[in-house]
Amino acid sequence: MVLRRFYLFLLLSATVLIIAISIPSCQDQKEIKFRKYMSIGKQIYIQRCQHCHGENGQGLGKLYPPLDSSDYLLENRDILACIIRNGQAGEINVNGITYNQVMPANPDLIEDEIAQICTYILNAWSNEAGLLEKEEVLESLGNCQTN
Amino acid sequence: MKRFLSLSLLFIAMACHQEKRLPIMGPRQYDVKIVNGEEHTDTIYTTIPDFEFINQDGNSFTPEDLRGKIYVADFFFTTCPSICPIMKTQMLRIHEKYKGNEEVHIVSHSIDPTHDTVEVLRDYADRLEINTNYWTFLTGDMDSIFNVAQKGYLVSAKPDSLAPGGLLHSGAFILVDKEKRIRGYYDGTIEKDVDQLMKDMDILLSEYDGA
Repeated sequence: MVLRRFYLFLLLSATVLIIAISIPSCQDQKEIKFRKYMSIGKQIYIQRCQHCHGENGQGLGKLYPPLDSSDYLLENRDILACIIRNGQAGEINVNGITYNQVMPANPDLIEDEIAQICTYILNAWSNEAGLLEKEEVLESLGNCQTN
Repeated sequence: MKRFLSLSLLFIAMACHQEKRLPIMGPRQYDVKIVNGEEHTDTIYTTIPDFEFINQDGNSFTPEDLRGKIYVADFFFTTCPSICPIMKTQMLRIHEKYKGNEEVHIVSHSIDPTHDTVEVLRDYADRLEINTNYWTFLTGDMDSIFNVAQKGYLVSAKPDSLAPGGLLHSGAFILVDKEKRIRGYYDGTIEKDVDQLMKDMDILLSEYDGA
């Protein structure tokens, strides 16, 4: 009788364990990728972008444009990879304000890293523009306008 | 026992009350004079040498414009991609706290006068949305700028092809008193250091209270 109870307990524990292990794998693979991109993207953002664009994507005065709730950022998803890799110069209009600072190029960043930064800045703070995959980066980089 | 306790408490209170003073930085020289057969030693502190630069409005700017003020100096250039934006974010905190105080000034020296013309500095100040009555941007002759950085403020600033933007410079904020003596160096890229700087500025200002 005691033995039977023990087996029942064992069976129950095993079931609970199996369910616990299988929950993450039930999660959408895309969601996992998204979280990974956000996490790595944030680290690269801190090293490369935060100096000017700020910890909260707020920018700095009228010197460096914000990324949080930035119409320019959200409307130019297709050229973000080009801007990050090649830098940018000349006037741009962000949320009604004209900015005119040179943004340095980041020629050493690989496509995966660019996808991770793009995903981060498109979804950090109050932005919610979803995952930006490496394929999208490759396509963008193939169409960069030389300036 | 009680008496001893209260006495020692009083002693501690007095020790704590002793006004804190900031150190005076830089090498010093001693001037020894014999007066009435007695030896008197005067300490001569390093001071910021005279300079003449041009501000963001195209006007001449000399130490005379800083008379009666303590000030914070730094070196930067407007196209610097690395530490300058953080330094300016931190300097803005100081500006926010002390703008309106006639005893306090901020002086940002550009070390890239070729690019950072008067117009560029004016635009930079406007875009930072600061009050140039309390924060001055300076440009001028390159050699004079590097000279005042290295020999006056004792910080590094020089062209360097390996540095981001081609110019190497210290990220220091330098606190200077009304006698043009250096009273502290702070890392302008570290928030905590700048917190300390603002505390020290209050201490320095209190040295002039009632003087």
